[in-house]
Amino acid sequence: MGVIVFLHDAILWLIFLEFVETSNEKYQYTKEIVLYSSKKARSYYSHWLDKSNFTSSISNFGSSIQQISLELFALPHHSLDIMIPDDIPSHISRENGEHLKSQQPFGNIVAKILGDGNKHMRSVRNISNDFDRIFENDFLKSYKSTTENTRTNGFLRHDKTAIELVKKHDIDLVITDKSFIATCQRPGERTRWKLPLSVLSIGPSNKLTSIIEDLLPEPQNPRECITEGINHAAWQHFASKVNTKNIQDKHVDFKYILVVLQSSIRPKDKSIRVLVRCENKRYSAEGYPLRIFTHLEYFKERGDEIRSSSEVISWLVETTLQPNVLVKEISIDASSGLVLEEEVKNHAHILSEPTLDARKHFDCASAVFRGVSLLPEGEFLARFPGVDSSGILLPLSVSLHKANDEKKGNVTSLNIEREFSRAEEVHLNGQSLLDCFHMWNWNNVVSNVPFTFQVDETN
Amino acid sequence: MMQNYYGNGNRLPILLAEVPLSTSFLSAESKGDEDDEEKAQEDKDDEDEEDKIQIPDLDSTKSNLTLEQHTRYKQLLHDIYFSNRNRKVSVKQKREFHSLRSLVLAEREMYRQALIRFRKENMRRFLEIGFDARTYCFWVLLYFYMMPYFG
Repeated sequence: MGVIVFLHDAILWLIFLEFVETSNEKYQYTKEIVLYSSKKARSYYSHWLDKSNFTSSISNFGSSIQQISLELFALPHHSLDIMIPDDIPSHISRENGEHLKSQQPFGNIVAKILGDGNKHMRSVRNISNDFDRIFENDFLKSYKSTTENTRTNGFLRHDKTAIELVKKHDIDLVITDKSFIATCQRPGERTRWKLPLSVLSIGPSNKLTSIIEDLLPEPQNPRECITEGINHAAWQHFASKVNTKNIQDKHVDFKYILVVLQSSIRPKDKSIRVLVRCENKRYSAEGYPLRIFTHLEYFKERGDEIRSSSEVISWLVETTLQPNVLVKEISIDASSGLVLEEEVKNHAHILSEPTLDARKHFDCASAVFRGVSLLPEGEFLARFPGVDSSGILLPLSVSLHKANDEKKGNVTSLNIEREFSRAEEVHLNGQSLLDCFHMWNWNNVVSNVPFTFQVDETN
Repeated sequence: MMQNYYGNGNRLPILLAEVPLSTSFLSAESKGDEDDEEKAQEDKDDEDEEDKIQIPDLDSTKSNLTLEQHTRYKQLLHDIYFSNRNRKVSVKQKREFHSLRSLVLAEREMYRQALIRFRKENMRRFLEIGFDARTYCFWVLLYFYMMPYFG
């Protein structure tokens, strides 16, 4: 009897092993990508925990002490399953073929879509005085770190160059570029972030200044996970194809840009002076800082997917903060791994996006910064979507949580270590899969009105 | 405007193989459990109801508008909203635009319904690409098989 059971087990084992071998062969590269993503989350986790002097004081956060409502800035389709965008908004006009002219509420912008042959040219921009009121991003007002002060510690609060600039220039808030892009995202489009921040009295005459660190990693959906892995592969590809200066992350440059944000809803309010630290790790062959965004096309047989407003606002923030940055977007067929298109994005591409209202994105960031600037001295964590003191999710609000000291026995509602372990998860439930969908335009149909069925050309 | 640099079959070095689409794990998932069976039955009922309402299929349905109507709508849209403001648009053109616009909006609503159906039917693709469903299935089976040995 024992022998029969043993043989039965052995046969089952053999079947299983063969099954694994065949499946591994087929799914080799995709597994690498998933593993890479989870490894990255782990490395991020260790990066934070290594700085014991930082995490020991602020690893636990209590329940919400304040909420900032972002309801005014939510995307109009946040409650709908599918939003069909209307035609191109009237503030954008096309002139002279590829030129685009936009009359944004904060000024006029003229831009031109450039082909790769003109990649040395920058986009043409005429910015009115109104625009300057919102952004003071002139090169002369930006600073480049030249000393070792910057890289002694990865955290912004330990960045001596940033603190010196705060003291000199009456700055209200310091933030990293990644976190700035996160705060510019409007609610309603899979937006979520958690930002650790410190409020310190380092400004002139002991003025309180908020310092917002890099955002914490979040659990991902399948599209985000694969995109992150393929983006890594794309960088490796470019390292071999393109003659880049600093592809190995050996030397990191930081650039500091002063941004003055004025709310368009409350124009009489005092403007907020924000110092943004941009991290430049990689450069193009011409010496421009390089950013690569990867977009996966899951339904390539039907058409090109429409970019989400959070993707487009990332291009806009990058090109506005550093006008010499080279923003490349690579679209890849997810099922075959084929590189379908590679394009340098400038303001013209951003303006031609029908669903983008840049003013509301920056108003959203402005509202968050205003809320943060009211905090007293201490360590905090801002999270979106927020949770109230009873733990109920607030989909259109940011909640602010104060750091707890565990020794005093305070109730902890958020723990950074727990958040990091959660960040390794990839959610595969139904809602998560639905979140992966993007709308698309039909392939090879020039005459089709957007978001209608394919034209029967024989008709 | 857009250039395709790698369109001749070149892939990123890490992506050396095409990904096969598997449905075995997902189709097997809904078998066995009674709750899942009930859900499947409910889904089937929903689908039947949808069939009664005649939600169009995204791939096979063609536009109700003719090619000329599509072209004309786009031209009028450009003339009225995006061209030089000094250029006058006649009342007749505006009327024509509004009648076409009502047709376009009606078709967009149908398109939205078709997209909802499409999303339901194709959401599995996000699992099939990049997530090794078969290996996951193996570990689940192995776990249940080995449970008696480990108590």
